[in-house]
Parts: sequence; structure tokens; C-alpha cells
Amino acid sequence: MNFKLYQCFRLILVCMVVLSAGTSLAVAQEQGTVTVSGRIVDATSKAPLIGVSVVVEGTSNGVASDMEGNYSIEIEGENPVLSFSYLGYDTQNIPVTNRTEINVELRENQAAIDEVVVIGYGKTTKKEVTGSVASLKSEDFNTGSFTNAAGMFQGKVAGLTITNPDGGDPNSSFEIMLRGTNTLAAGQGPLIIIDGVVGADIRNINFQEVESVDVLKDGSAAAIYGTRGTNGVVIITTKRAKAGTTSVEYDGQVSVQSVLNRAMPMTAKEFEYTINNFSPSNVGSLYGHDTDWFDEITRTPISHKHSIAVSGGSEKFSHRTILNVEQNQGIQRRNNSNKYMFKTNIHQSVLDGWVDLDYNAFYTRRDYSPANYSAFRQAFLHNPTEPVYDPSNTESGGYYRIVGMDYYNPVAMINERDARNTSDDFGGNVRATLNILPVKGLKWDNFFSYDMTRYESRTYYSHYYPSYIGTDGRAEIYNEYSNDFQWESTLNYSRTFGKHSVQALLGYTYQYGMYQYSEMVNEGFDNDWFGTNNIGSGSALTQGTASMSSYKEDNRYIAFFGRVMYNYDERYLVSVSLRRDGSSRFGADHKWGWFPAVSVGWRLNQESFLRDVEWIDELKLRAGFGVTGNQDFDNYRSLLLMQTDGYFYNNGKWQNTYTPKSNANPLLGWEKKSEWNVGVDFSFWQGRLSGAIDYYFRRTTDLLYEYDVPVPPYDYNVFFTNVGEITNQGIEVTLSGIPVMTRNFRWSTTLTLAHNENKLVKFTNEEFKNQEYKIGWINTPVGVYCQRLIEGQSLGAFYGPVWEGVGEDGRDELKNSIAGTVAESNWEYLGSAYPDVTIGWSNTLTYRNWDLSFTLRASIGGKVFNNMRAEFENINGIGLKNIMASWLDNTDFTGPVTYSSKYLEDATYLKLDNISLGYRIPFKPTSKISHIKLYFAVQNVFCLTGYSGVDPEVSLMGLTPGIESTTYYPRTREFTFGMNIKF
Amino acid sequence: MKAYKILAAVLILVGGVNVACTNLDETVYSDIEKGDFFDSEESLRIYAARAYTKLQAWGSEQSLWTLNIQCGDEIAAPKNCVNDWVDPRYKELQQHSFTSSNKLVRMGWDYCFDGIAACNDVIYEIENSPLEFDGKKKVLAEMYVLRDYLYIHAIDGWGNVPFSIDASETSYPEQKGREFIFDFVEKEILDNIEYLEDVPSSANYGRVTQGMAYTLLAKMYLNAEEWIGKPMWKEAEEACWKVMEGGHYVIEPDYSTNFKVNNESSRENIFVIPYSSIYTESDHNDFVIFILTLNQDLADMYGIPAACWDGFICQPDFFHSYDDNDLRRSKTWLYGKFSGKNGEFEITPDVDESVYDNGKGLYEGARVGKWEYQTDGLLKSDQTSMDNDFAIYRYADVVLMWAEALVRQDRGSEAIGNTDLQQIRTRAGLEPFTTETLTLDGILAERGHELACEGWRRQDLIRFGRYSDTWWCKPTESPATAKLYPIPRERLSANPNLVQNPGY
Repeated sequence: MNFKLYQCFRLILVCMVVLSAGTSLAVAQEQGTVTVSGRIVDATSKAPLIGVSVVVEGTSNGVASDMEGNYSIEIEGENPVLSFSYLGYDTQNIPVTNRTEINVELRENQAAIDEVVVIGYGKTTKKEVTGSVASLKSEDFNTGSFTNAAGMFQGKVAGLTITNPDGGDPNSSFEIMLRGTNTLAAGQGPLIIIDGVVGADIRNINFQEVESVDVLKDGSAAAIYGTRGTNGVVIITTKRAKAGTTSVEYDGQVSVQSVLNRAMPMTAKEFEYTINNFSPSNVGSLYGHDTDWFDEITRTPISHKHSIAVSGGSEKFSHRTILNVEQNQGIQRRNNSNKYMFKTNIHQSVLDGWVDLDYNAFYTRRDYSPANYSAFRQAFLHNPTEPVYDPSNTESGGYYRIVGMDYYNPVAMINERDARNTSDDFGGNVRATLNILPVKGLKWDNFFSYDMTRYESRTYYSHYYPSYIGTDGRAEIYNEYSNDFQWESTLNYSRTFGKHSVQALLGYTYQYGMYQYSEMVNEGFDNDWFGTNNIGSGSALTQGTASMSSYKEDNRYIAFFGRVMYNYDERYLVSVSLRRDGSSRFGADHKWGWFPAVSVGWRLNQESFLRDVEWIDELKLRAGFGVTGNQDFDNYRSLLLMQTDGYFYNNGKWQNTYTPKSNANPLLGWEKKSEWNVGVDFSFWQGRLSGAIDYYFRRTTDLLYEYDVPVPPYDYNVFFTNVGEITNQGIEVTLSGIPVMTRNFRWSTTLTLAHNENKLVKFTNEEFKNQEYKIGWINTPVGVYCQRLIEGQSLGAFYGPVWEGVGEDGRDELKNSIAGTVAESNWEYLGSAYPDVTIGWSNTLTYRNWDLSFTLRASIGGKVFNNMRAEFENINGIGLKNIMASWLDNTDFTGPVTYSSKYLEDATYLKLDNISLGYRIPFKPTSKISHIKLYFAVQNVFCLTGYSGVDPEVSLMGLTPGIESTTYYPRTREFTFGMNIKF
Repeated sequence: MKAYKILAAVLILVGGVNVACTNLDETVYSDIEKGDFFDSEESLRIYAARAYTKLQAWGSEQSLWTLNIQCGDEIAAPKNCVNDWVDPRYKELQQHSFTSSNKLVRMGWDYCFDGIAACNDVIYEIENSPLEFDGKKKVLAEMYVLRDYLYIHAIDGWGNVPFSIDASETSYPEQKGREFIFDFVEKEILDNIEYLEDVPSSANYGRVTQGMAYTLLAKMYLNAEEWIGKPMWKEAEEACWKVMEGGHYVIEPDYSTNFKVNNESSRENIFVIPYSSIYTESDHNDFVIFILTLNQDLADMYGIPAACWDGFICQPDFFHSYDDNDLRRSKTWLYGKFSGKNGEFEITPDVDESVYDNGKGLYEGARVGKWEYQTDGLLKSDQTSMDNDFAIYRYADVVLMWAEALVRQDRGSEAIGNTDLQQIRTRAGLEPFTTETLTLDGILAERGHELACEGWRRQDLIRFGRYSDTWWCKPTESPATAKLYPIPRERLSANPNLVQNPGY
């Protein structure tokens, strides 16, 4: 920027301030009360700050600064003090002392280093934290509209991979994975804690309610959660009650979606051309119509979300209540999801500060119609020359119907199925804190929480649902009920003695979870009148072919834990924790385990040799070690259980038989992970550049897996036991910066990079000697296992023949092939499903009242198996069924499908996940409305990739990552218009 | 100070509760803990039934039965043009180019060893139970002989198999050859046969009886020369005669009686697997030949709502090997003109070899029609079982084995006068056997037509030295090693003591 121009501009501003100050003075004298006015600017850039709240302390008398940073406030009373507060800046309290003009320079919060970081069972500050913890505040989140709060921090935390494998389905869940795959058979999702409730369901909160997200990444941070810490811990804090004047906030959004990418079958014209020219024996499959089956089952979905929040109160009693309504449409017809949420939080301080009470209650209702995934598949492979309807066919209900294996009219599949699922979640909790005032810094916390979920799914398939024609209607009712009780009791002590600062914690926790379901299915209804509402009327019940089932299970966790954090002069930091954790799931003598952790930090900037280096705000070295476990698998796996099996014909009657449920393993124990983490946190030039770099090495031992065993002597072919060892190591880099900051313009940016290397070190011992398992079954026509678990290699390793092109005979030519096939023993390593590097890059640009933010995400390296091409890009498949349009680009290939590297593609991509443009309408400080923000956001803007399939970002969780599903919900692009009003 | 006291009291109280709250025992609701299960005689009897239910895997899509029938010259599963139904698994069987990853080979193996494991488990629980009850010996004898039946299937298919008879011994089982298993099984049957019921009744329908045990022995002795290099024709003859002399079984006047929807009344069936469209309908314990063989027109004609796969057909040469007067051809196969829901259609038994890879038309190839198809509309999906019970052992088989044993001993003439034997011929509409026609070739052909699709063709072809021959869509002779299946890959890798059969 032109410096002279800037000086000139400043001069004008100063003149204006002086002028306006003079005017105010005059007014004040005239009315006999004191009017104080002035101008508020940024201490560094001297830019005016708009909307700074100016309040006379101890009163509700307040104004906000205007477009030029000016304010004017009438005051009365003795020794008034003005409080100037602004988001992101340090609050200043200035006594008026008979002045009428007070100009203020507000200083930005001394970087983020004093920011609160939520760690397990407590809080600390960013400068004091010694583990690897990523902390996100509301300004860090993706903006736009999300059906799941996980979408808000996608790409924001290095090492935290968040994918949405089901594309645009409004009911889809996100997959969250931290620092690679650390288990073979147990769960891979992180432990989610919402407002203190351990293992909460992220679907029960509205994304706009999230205040902060803290991710405990390394073992030293997560070890306080013991057996559930291996996959990391995501702590979500929602907006809480706060003291202040009553405010009402409304948030509304409307979204429209369009298809971004989908698998493309041939159109009717292409289909006819292909059959006539390449497969004339199939001319019988040309029916002369032109139907776009995908169009027939989809629509342009419109969704809207509204929420209204009321909050306010005093230091002694404050409250916040939010009501949220959202109606989401999926791109598939009749695929909907409605959510209604109510949540209230009340904070109360009683008995002269001895007791703090924090009450929460929420109710979430979701009612939705799930997508029919196989309808997408049928729409893809259905013959495009068939008509949709055939009024003469009464048996099929007027739909055109050709009977074939796995061949159904997709329109009938959508219209003739009525699926309604509802889930009701109630939750309540209270945190009672006893502040033991005589001992400074000592408090006793008790947290009681109860959650209950009822889920019901009702599905009715009419007489004309294609795969049930002949069953005369089918009704399914499924009910689930679960509850969860938690009690957590902790004793906290926090105190600073001179240069010594101590925070100690001692705790006990008890958690009980219960789950049960019942299900009934009946068929053979006289007509479709009742749907699922008179399930007993079906004839299958009397014929004995209806079915019914129910189940119940429960489990318990109990733990004792403690932690001491100490620092000297905010320079040398150390944290030590230990958890004694127990779970009912393990064998009788293996129920309890120890989970220790230790981490240290050294803040170099506090040392005398760096203390005077002005440009360094923060420079901290960290190192940590911690042990965590994984027990995310089914209950009762260690017990010898008998279950009902098939039926036996005994003297004219069929009777139940009983069989062992599995090969019981009474020795079943923990999967144990130990993790080293070293890192550095830094912040330079008053936060203009900051970040963190971490290196970690995690080793999981006693890996659980379903190992192959012989039958007999075992009853089943697999035995669930602890054998193997897996390691993951990697580097994570987070860089944040504010490259440009002028009076009106500010650009802040954050870049995250992560690299992980996975290795299956061992999964043999003296008993289990099989060093290789073939996994990743690809269905016909491929019909092979495409991946192998091999000792010493990474998971997700693809093996197969190497493709060398298409021969003159139209067949695939494969390296080392004998008579067109390559023996499995000669297959080569074809690559790994895991990417080399994942990158997230988020940016926010603000100019006056405008802000623009966008997030790019990239993944470099890794392979993905293109299942659609393998199944459908093949002329042999044409006939009754359609194939991929892309075969027309490869007409030289006419041979049978053989599995090879041909279908394995590079998964590298760059995505613009999200872009949003917002405008904040300026209001006079006296206005009733404190702000209105309008914004427009687009999600899934583009994806740049060499991958020829629908989306290279497929599920990387589980043992067989990198295989694209063939019943893919299309990826959609979403346009959202939103408004936020605060009174 | 008062606050301190209250606090101390509360802390002590909570501390006490904490100690109590460390109990992590599991409570089971929807299953039964094994320790609680075996508390009565009744539960032991019920438990024994679980070994029998393992037999229900016999009639499913991939099973020992479908494996064995696909390896002979009677049935084939060419590519299906209409439904894109092509399965390389079946071609491997058709041409005897077995691989250890073939799913049918694995499912066949599992039929044997899942059943053996269940028998071992039941035997262990009953032998170790302190409860004494009437008929304990009989229940045990049934389990021993059922296990023997499965071991004989195992050595028939794979030759060298893991040997495990004690459920409490979980170390890797040793691999044993045919001779060892043969001797073990023979002794175990002879030791236990006296405890089995000798008279077939509705109470022991579907269970091991003396008739079943002697038939099993007869099958062993008949194949002893092939399996262990020791001809035992005399023993085979005697074992068969044990069944025949009792007079409990007859050759039913109508061949089809044995295969009807309600075939419980057949007095010819010796050992059956009961099936039910209600009670045995799930993946891998059902009888689903209707799915495998019918085309949609035939299914519609029978009122079967399930989508059928139009797969298994009769090999044309086998079809033409029947005498034109042989009634069993039309009682075993569906061919010729039918009047269906959408008019008339014709199933043609002649199928060109080229269709095997290129795809067969909707009406090409005679279909399996041996088991009467029910027209009550209950066969709704590919996991719904037919109601027909499957006769593993049938009296006609025993009589033909007896005749063969005699012919093998050059005493064929002694069989000519047997009315049961001749009734097999006459009920088929054929001339009775004479000394000229009762030859080894005559017996192989007769067994082929009488027992078509019942799962014995592979064993018979091997015993008669014809298994390596070429036939329809099997252009090359198979090596001698093809007489044993490969040990399935997954099962081989799960037990380091196993050595793969030669040739694989």
C-alpha cells in the first residue's frame, strides 16, 4: 500500500475524531449528563475497530463503535469505569476520571498462546500443554451447511482424516481416523466426548452449536482415557451459558444440491449403437425406448435449517437455550432427513460460591427415509431402452418388468418402498462442583449423565416392490433402545506458588451402557392398505415364515485415574498421568489394565537468551510417551456362550438346536498401543506466523484379529485373539499465518500436512504361523482377493497381475501370464491404498464487512481400486444390462474381465471442499439488532484428479481400504444461502 | 471447620462406593453361558441334534453335493446368456482343473469338518457329563457313526485329512491317510452298531440307524480297493446283505415316491436329511436345486416366485445314454414341451459344446426335475429350501452295491434271482437284468440312471476307472491326481500340519 496515501488517510481520520469529539462534548454539557466519546483503533495497525462493545462497568449501559471506530456514551454515577471489549482482543477497563474523550488502542489477544485448551478431565492453556493437542475455535471451522458436525473440521487438523464415503446422502456418517490404522479387528473411530459425555453421538448436535473442538492426538494426551484412547479423542464443547445481557440469535440456511459426479452408464443411443456394432447377438435386448434411469429416481434437493438461541443471565445464574429445525433432502427421491433439536444449558452459582452447578438437557429427534442404495446400482445397470412403465403388466403394478437375476426396475424400487426411521435421543447431565474455598484452588467435581436413545425403523415393501414380487407385501419393524449412564468424580487442585505452578487431578469414573433390539418381519398381505401398521395381518405369520427376534446386551467401564501437571516459571513443563482401566468385555483375569503417560515441555522463549528476542512469541519443545488401549469390539467375546442354531426334525416336529456362539477366548485382552511423540510449537511476530510440527511413533501390540484355526478341534474357522503388532509413524505440520493485515484487509491462512507410514510388523506367534492373509474380496466378474496382509508390510497393500495393455485378440495382456492367467503366487505388489501426504489449506480473507473463506484439501499418492470399471467397463456385460459409457473409449478391449493393475488407479486429488462469502450488515450501536450476517457458501466445488471413477476419496478405514463401492451415492455439490441475526 | 468435616465424610462415603463399583462381571441376556446350559438330560439330547443340523449344508448352492455332481458326466453349468450367470468355479470342476481356492471345494470340505467338529463337541459334552440317562449309549453311538460318515466323505474327496476326535485337544490335528481313517472308522462303526436302532421309525427318521451304518460300511468296502488298495468285495456284499435281510426297506413301486415334496413315507430311503421351506431356510443350510436349474418360464409354471438362475443342465451325452424306454429319464429331467404362463415353450436337451463359454439360451439343456417341485408358492428366495427331504442313502443304492459286489466276485448270477434288484429295472420300464446284461458296464450305467443327481457319480466313475475320461465340455483326460480334490487354501493355511495333495 502506498504509504503516503495511508498517512493522508490517517490524518483525515484523526481530524474526524477530533471533530466528533468536540460535538459530543457540546451535547453532553447541554444535557447535564456526562458524555464520553472517543475512537477505538487496533494497537498495531491503527485501523479503526468496528463494533467494539463499550459498557459502563456494573451497568447494562453500553454502546458499540461505528464504522469509523467512534463511540459515544452517556454516563452518570461516581467513578465510572468503561470496559472496551472486542472479539480477539484484550479487554481494557479504563476509569473515566472526568475525561470526556477517551481514545483507546486495543491490543490483539497476545497470540493464541493463552487460549484455553481442553484436555481430558480438565483444561490448560496452549502455552502450558505438553501433549499433541489440536485446538479449534469457532473461527477455525469450515463455513457452510453440514448435516454432520464432523464436516466443519474436515481438513483442519493435521493427521485427522475425515471422509464421507457415502457422498451426498443426508443420513451418511463421516469416518474419522487419526494417525493411520492401528488395529486389525477393533474399531478405528476416535472417542468422541461432547460436553463431558464420553462416547456421545456426534449426530445429536447441530453443527452451529459447536464452540470448540479439541483433538487429543498422541498417546501422552489420550492415555487419560485408557482403553478407549488409541484412536485419539475428539472433545467437542458446545456453546454454553454466559453472563451478559439477554441476546437472541437466529440462524437460517437454505441449500440446493446438484450432481457433482456419478458413474455414467450408456445412454439409450450409445447402448443401441454398441449392441448393433459390437454385440449383435444381443439385439433382442433393444426395447426401443429412451429412459434415463438416474433421472427417474433423482431430483434437485432443497434443504433448509433454522435455529434460534436465547441466552443471558448474571454471574450467578445464566442460561442458553437453542431450538433447531432442519429438513434435508437427498438427491434420491424419497430420501429425506429431518432433525429437531432442543438443548438448554443452565449455569448456577450457589452457597456463596461454594457450589457451581451446570445443567444440560437435550432432546434430538431425527426422522428420515434412508436412501435405497441398490436403486442407484439398478439405475446404473438397467437397460436404457426399456420403458419405465408397462400398464398392461398387472403383476408388476404397471412397471415394466423383465425378470432377471439381480435385475429390478429402479423406479419401482423407489416408489414401492416406504421406509421411515425415527430416532429420539434424550439426554441430561449435571456437573456439580464443590469449590472448597478454604483451600485455594481445590475443588471437587461430580458429573452425572444419562442418555437414552430410542430408534425405530419401519419399512414396507408393497406388492410391487420388484425383488419381493410374489411375497405379497413385506413389512419390517425394528426397534432399538439403548441407554448410557456415566458418573465421574474428580478432585482438582490448581495453584501457583511463586514460579511453581501445579495442577493435580484424581478421579473415578463409572459408565454403564445397555442396548437392546427387537425385530419383526411379516409377508403375505391381502393388499397394501396397512403398510407396517397392522403387521399381524400377513399370511406368512400363520404359514410360519414370518420372523421375529430380539436381543439385549450391556457393558461397563470403570476407571481410576490421576494426573499431575507442573511447571516452573512457565518454562519447564511436565505432565504425568496414570489410569487404571477396567472393561467388562475382557476375559475374567484380563479385565484391568494400567495406562501411564508422561510428557514434558520446554518453552525456549522463557529462557533468558530468548526472552528479549521480540519476534519470538512462543517456542516450545515437547516430548511425550503414553500407553492407550482399544476395546471397541462386541460384548461377551471372552465368554463360552450357547446360542440357538438351526432346527432339527425330531419325530415329526422341528425343534431348536443350540450351538457354541463362537470359539470363546477366556484369555482375551487389550490391544495395547504405546506412542512416542516429539513436537515443537511456535509463534512469531505477534502471531503472524505460528504452528506446530510433530513426529510420532506408535506401536500397537497384542493386536486382535480373527485368526484362522482348523475345524475341528475348533467349532469355527476363526479365533478372536491377541497376537500381532502394528506400527504407525509420521509427521504432522500445521502452519498458520496472517500474510496480509492492513486496516481493512486481512488474510489468514492455515496449512496442514500429514504423512503416515503403516507397517504390520507381526501377526504370528508360536501358535499362529500363517504370515499372509488374502483379503479384499472383489465380487464377480472379478472374483478375487485384491489385497494381502503380509508381515513386514503396510496394510492396504494391493497385489495382482501387472497389466501391459490390450492385445490384438481384445484381451488384457498381463505380465508373466501363462495362457492368459497369472498364478496368484506370481502376483506383484501394485501399491498401497494409503496416501503419501494429506494436505489441508484453509483461508479467510476479510475486507471491511466482507469475508471470504475457502478450504482446499489434497491427497497425494495412494491407489484406489475402480470397482465400477472392473464390473461394468466390459462389452461382455452388455445385453439385458447396461455397461459403462467409458467402454466406448476402449472398444479394443473385448475380452473377459481379469483382475489386474488395469483397474488400480492413482488416488491423488485436490478438492475445493468449501467456499463461502459473507457480508456483515453494519448497524448503529443504538440499534436493537446487534448484527446481521448474510453468507453464500458452496460445498464440494471441484475435485481435480486423474482418477476416472466417481470419487478418489474412498473409505480408508478398516482392513481393506481403497476399494470403491459399486453402490455409490453420487457426490453432490451444495449451494447454501444463510443468514445470522443477533438481537 | 464444619465444612471440612462434611467433606471428609462425603469423601469416605464415596470411597466406599467406589470399591463396590469395581465389579466388571458380564451379564448375558440373549444367549446362555455354557456352564448353565448342560444342566439336564434333555439339554444333552437337544445338544446332540446340533450335529445333525450340520448335514443341512448338503443341498445348498455350494456344497459337497454340488461339488460332487459337477465333477461327473451328468451335470454341467455353462455360461448363462440371459442372466450373465457365469461362474469360473464350475468350469474348474467340469474340466477337473481344481484349484485350492475354489469355493465349492472349500464348502465341501467344511461340510465334512464342521460336522466332525460338532460331533466331537457333542461326544465330549456327553462323555464328560455326570448325568446318566437311558439311551446315553445310543446317542453316543449315533454321534460316532455320524462322525464316521463324515470322515468317509472326507477321505473320498481329499484322501489325506486332519484327524481329530477329541474336542478338548486344541493343538493342530495331524494329517492322516485313507488307510488310517478307514481302519479307525471301520472299528468305530462295528463297536457301536449294536447300540443303534435297527427298525426304521418316525422317531429315528433323519437319524443314524443300523441300516444307515451298514450302508456306510458297504460304501467303504466297495471302494476299499480304490482307497486303500485292498479289495473287500466280500465284506461289501455282507454289509449290503445286512440291510437287505432285515426286510425293513423296500423298492418303492414308483421311483418318484422317494423324491416327492412329502417323501417321509418312502420306505426305500434309509438315511435322509429332512428339509423344510420354513425351518431350514437360510444360506448354507437349505436345499435349493430349484434355484440352480430352473429357468424363469419353468419357475413361473410351478408358481415359484423366486428368481431362478437357469444354471444346471443335463449333459447331452448323459441324456442320450438312457434307454428310450427308461421311465427314469423323464422322472429325473425336465425337457420337451411345457405349457407355461405365457404360452408353450420347449426345453431342448441337445446343447452344443460351444455354449459352455459363450452362453446358453433360455430353453437349452434338460433341467433337474427329480425332486418334485412344490406349487404352493413358498419358494420365495434363493435361500428358501424346498420341502423335499434328501435321501443320502437309498435302498436301491444298497441293492445295486450288493449286485456289484457279487459281479466283482464273479458271482453275478446269484443276483439275478433277487426280486429287489429286478424291481429296480422293471419299475423303470426296462427288461430285468440277465447274466449278459449284469456286467460292470451294465451296473455303472444302471447306477448312473438310477442315482442320477444324487451325488454318487464321481465316486462311481473313479471306482470303475472312468473318471479321467473325456466327455462333454471336458476335452482332455484328467491326471490321476485329479481323483483327489485340493485341500482348500484357507484350511491348509490354518493348520501347519497339513500337506497339500499331489498335483496342486
